[in-house]
Amino acid sequence: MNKIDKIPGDATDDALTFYGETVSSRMLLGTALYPSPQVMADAVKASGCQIVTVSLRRETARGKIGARFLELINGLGVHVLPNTAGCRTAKEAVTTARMARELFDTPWIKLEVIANDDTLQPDLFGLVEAAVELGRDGFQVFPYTTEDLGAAERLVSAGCQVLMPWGAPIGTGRGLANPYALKTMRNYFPEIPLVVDAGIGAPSHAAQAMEMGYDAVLLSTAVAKAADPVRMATAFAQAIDAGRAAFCSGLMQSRDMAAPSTPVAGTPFFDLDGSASRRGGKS
Amino acid sequence: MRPATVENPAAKPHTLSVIPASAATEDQLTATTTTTTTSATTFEVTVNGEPHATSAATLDALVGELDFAGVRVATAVNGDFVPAGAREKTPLEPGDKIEIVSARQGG
Repeated sequence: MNKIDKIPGDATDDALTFYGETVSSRMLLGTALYPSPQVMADAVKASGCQIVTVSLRRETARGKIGARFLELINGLGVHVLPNTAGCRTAKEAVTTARMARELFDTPWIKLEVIANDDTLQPDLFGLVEAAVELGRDGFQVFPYTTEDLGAAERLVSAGCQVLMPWGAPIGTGRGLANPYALKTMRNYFPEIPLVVDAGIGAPSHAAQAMEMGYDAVLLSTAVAKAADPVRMATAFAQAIDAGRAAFCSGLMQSRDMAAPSTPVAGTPFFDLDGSASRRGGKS
Repeated sequence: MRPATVENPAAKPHTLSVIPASAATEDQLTATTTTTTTSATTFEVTVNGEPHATSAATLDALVGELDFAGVRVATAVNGDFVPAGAREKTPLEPGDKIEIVSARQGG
């Protein structure tokens, strides 16, 4: 059950595949909330990420806003993952997904069905309903979900080949609110790509998710709202790489009592006091 | 919104829609009658949450009327997606709720 057993030893062969598309970066990055489009583009480049999330909104300026954004994104040479952010019902999400597919020319959809404003938490019932319909319609769904295993099973039954549980509510930057549940989910679905989506505030949070064996991390605000988004994008990329390498290397098990890391045999003065049990450890 | 003029592409499909009325169903006949008798054939729809007076007979005509022709937008009418290729065959009726969206930043 432990995913460590299944990890290939060769780090050069450590690619990640979503619906047949292989990427080498394990970061998925949002494109919103940056101080300027140029800073966004620079941050994406600095991060090395190959998948960015995008959205759609009501067009007001005779199509120019959307066209300009599309041009910028297409120039980055990355995969786009459109979202259904803001949708409250399965029906809204399905229609939004279909509009996104036409706009961005991709079957990928980051499926969000939001339950309420305060937590922006997934509405699992609407999520599953929408995933079933979109799956039938040929979409490749990336569901923004919780750690709930029952909902996750239903999403997988609906054809989802990736699951994206939240770390914490969107935009909070609180990190992994429920590491135990996330670990359980990882162990329960050893073969399905799992992405921690939302709530990541610091590179250490991202590293923690990767050390747990998560396949990737999706983040947005933590980079976009940094004082220096480009440098923060680099910091996250390094943390994600470090976390992944650590997971693949096999992390040590933690223990309650100290264990000397310097060999005990041959320690000078070891027998001077003649005591069988010495107090204190050696370092 | 632009005033209806002769050049308005929206006006053409509407005029056309009157011609084959004999082959239309009762519902379409009623709709045709309504639009022809209303002043200058304008009616109220909702576009992106705002009220909008139009004479566009089809979604395609409305998209043109709003200067989105040739622009990469996606559309929905009354909550259902309408692919770009189907806009021409999608008639509009008073009270329709239309969404016209384009690409944006996302998280």
